[in-house]
Amino acid sequence: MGSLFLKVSKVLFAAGLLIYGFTDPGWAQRSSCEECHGRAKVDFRRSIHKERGMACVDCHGGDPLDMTRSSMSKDKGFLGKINKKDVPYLCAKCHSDVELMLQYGEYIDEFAVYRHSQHGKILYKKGDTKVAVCTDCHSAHDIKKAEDPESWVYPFNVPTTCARCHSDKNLMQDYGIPTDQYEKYKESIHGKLRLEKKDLRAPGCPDCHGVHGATPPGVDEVHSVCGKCHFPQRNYFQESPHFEAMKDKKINECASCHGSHGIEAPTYELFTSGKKEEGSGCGGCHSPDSREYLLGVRIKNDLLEAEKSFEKASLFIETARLKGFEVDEERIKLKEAKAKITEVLPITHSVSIPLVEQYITTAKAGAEDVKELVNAKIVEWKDRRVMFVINIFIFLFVVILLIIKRKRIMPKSNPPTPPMAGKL
Amino acid sequence: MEGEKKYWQAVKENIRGWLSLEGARKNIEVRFGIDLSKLTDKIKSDLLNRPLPKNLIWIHYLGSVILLLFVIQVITGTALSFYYKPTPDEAHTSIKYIMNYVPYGWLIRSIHYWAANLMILSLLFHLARVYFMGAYKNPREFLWVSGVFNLGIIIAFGFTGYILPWDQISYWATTTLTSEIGDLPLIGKYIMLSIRGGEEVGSGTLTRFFVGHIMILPAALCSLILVHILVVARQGISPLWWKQKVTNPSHESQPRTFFPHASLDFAIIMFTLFALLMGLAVFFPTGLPDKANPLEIPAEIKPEWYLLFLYQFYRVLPVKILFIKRVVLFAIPFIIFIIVLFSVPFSDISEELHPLKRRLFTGLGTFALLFFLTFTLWGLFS
Repeated sequence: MGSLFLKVSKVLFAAGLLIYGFTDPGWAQRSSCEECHGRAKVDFRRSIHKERGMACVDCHGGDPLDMTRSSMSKDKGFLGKINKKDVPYLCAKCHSDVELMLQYGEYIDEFAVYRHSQHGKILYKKGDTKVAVCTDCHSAHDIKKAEDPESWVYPFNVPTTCARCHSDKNLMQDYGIPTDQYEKYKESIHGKLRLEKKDLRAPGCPDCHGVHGATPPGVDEVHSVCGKCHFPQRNYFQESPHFEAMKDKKINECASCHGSHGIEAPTYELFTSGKKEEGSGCGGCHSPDSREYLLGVRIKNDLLEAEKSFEKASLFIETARLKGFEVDEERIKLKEAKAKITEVLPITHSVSIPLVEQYITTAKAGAEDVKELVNAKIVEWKDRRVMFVINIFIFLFVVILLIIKRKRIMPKSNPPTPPMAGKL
Repeated sequence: MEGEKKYWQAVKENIRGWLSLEGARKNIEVRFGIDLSKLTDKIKSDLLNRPLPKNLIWIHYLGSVILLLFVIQVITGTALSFYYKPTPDEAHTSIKYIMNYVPYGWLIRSIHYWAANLMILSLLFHLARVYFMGAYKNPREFLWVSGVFNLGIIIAFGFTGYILPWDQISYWATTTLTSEIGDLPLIGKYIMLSIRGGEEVGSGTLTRFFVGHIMILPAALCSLILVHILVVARQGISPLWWKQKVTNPSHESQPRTFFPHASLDFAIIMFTLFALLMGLAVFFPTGLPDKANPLEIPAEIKPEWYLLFLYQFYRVLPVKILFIKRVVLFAIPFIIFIIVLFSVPFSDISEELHPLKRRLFTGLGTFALLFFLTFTLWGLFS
């Protein structure tokens, strides 16, 4: 009885193993590719491809069920290590397949776009395999979705991913490309916002250069690139005399003033400064005695005056607030006045003095209104003080009268008193 | 016609009877059984003509200053409560309304604020005066104990009143303080929940603090002050160490009486206080920080000046020693201090009043005073 039970158990266990082995391809792969390629196995298991049910065979071919070396024979369709030039084709096999990608909501144009990118052009036209292909940015086996913080192409990781090649002096020297973009970007307003404050509104490399179609913008395309986010500035710039002039003289549009990778938060100094490490102010192109330069000075001075008005108005508001006055209305009015300056900054790109001054005058008038409103309250407070100082003097006068009265009624000398106990 | 005339004549005489002093006296005597002439005699002999102790000096009026300030607080507080709305949505707005639209609302609120501060200051001076002059000694132990309770109640007044404007500073100070209390082992969470009236500082907290501020604490303080005054009236004021050997506490031979002498002194203090309060309220009116925002912690959170020494002491303590949390490290000396404070009159049993002749207690008092001043200044400038 006991031996029968043992036999039945053995048969059932063997059957279970067989069923499991033949129905789970993962097990089959572990038994062939993963037996030798341990590192790749570990990486692949963490990838999105593994999660979607792909296996080594889908990219490398071969027969994972064959446990011998013949599993890697040409007869079994084994491709081996993929030639770098072939990587984009291999990836495109699935990633350009509409029906396959539709279920994941993925784009299908990556390969088509890549072929027209700077990377793609160098790879396919020059046959230079040092350029980036899919695996250089997404990794080979450890591919993760872009939303995964561990992904190389996660928005906050993209700059370092690009920098792996673009900061490599040896690699870049053949192309004559500078290698300080990443260092400059890190210190730029865009880099600080994106990398330090984790603000996704600030651009990373692909937002300006394109993702799969990465290409440096031409000098007359810069306004379009920057204008994707800074569209009011772009619109006013296109209306300005600078637009055509820069096109003619092949000047780098926005970047010529603001810089490119090391772009700083613009200050009013830009209207008068000369050449800088990144970009240059009006003084970079216009001589200090030129009419154009003086217009820059005028705009700058107007803006600085407006800022001074705001500071004064804020000080007035704070003074009144500390005295307990309600200043909500004044705060709103000041915000409205400040908003005019926010509005005028893009307008300065038009270099239209009447338009710029119209906004600045409105802003300054707004600040003056606020000052007057608050001042009325402060004057009221001062009036109160005068009124109550009189009251205080009346109280003090009463105190003096009472003291005089006290002196009059107080006994001149105390009668002799018997000695007290001394202690409690 | 004749009857009607007589009727109206009688009504006239009846009213005249009520309005005349003698008539009113008789009517009250018949209706309430109170003999007004005896009552006025009693008031004259026991209160107005009550002889003053010879050793009464200006510093003894500190207690009456506190009482006067409390009366001012009740009056201004009642006026403020006509407009104040104790809900997180409306509290700040209602204070703004008081400050800007209620006639003299700004003045009443500023006087309320400054009187509260002066009240605590006067009480601290009063406490120090009694301590260093040995005025708590037998048979005045009860006065000391009730005085310490009064101090606790007045600080509770300050604490509960602090959050009522529902501004950023008071909201976060209350949040921080209550969350630290919540860290106390075993009972901490229950104390925190009972103070907050819920998990968070919110409408429950505001309601509790408001009710405490305008009902529970005033009732408690009124009762304690009444008992305190009655005991003072019975026991008289304590002797002064520098007059210990020569003065006579006996009242009979003193020429000064409550009226007009002490009343006049009190009137001088009262009008000086009015002038001081008016000056402070007008020249340094209390402002109103921005409305409480539970999502934004202000850059600096500091309590009012009278709690600053405790706050600074708490800050300098290490976050943890072994497994003992900072709040416990703080609570242990604090509880010991409270126990010592209450036990002062029961442990200093010598009859000596001179501070230099009772060095242990003068030393302890000086240490407490220096601790208070040092940590308050440290907290203020750190």
